[in-house]
Amino acid sequence: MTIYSKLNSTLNTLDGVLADFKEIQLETSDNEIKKKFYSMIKLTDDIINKLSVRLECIQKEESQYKEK
Amino acid sequence: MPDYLQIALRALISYIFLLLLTRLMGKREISQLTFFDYCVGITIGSITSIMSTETSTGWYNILPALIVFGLLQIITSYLSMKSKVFRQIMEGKQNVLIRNGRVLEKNMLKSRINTDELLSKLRQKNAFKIADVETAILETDGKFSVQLKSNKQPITPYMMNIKTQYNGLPALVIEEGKVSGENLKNMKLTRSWLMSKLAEQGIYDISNVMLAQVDTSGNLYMDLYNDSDNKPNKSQSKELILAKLEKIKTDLNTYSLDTDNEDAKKLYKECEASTKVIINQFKKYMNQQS
Repeated sequence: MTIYSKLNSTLNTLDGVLADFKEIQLETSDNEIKKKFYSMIKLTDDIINKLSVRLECIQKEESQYKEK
Repeated sequence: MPDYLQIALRALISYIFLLLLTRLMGKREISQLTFFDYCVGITIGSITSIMSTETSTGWYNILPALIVFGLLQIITSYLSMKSKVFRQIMEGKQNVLIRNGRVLEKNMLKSRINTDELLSKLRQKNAFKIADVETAILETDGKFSVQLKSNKQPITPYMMNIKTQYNGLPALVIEEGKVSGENLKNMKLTRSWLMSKLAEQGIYDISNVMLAQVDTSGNLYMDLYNDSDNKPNKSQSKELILAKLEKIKTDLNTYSLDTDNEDAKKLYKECEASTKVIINQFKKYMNQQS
């Protein structure tokens, strides 16, 4: 598999984890826990954004490579 | 034997013969029906009903009529394949009613289509303005084909020079609780890949899955028999989240080692470090829960 599809797959897993975090945060009634997840969610979101940018770069590079 | 029993038996026999015949005749007969095909269809139906109910003569005397009609249909469709002239005799020719945006009155007269009918058929193909139509053809089965002028056609990615990701035929890999090995093979996937994808969603038992479909990008859609099972119980999903996080960390490490690009290396290492932090925080949360 190409690096594009591997990174894409990792990003999908990250999206899933982010959704799981948000779900737990929503369902709990404990405010302490809600706060804890806030930081985990922010970190995960950050990673997703950085990797998405990198993924776009890779996509451009790979399509140029295919054209050659 | 009493009459009603005899007719019941004849009906059963006729049903079976009709089924055999129509399976032999194939799908084409049903899809592209010229008026003639349609009439032959009705005739075959008629013969079958007579075969079931006409007690003045044996069913074996009527069966030949059924076979002759069916065979002739098969033979003529075979011959139509081989000879264009024969095809035109049997099916007629398509008739172009609008060409280059202009209505051809002579051809309309040939097919005996009036303008009301023409406009109605165009509207059925979503062409409300004749000005938008480039070509309109009356096909041999009586259906209309409409080609819109090029500037009235909907935009495609090709026109905008947008590159799209390949999107091919998706495969149904699980049907009614059973894995289709052939469909998996067609997509070049393995059973173990499928099991790991299911495990990601917390499904360990295939017989619980009604449908699972994979597209050409590798995405898996699944539907379970017991819909309340779609949410695995909470303790199981926490282990799963942790497992996913560990996998993400390992993947990022691999990417940083695989790439030659210094900036990319740095990026992956940063993300890996962040992931470690998340893992620690999540582990603390898990310990507090138990």
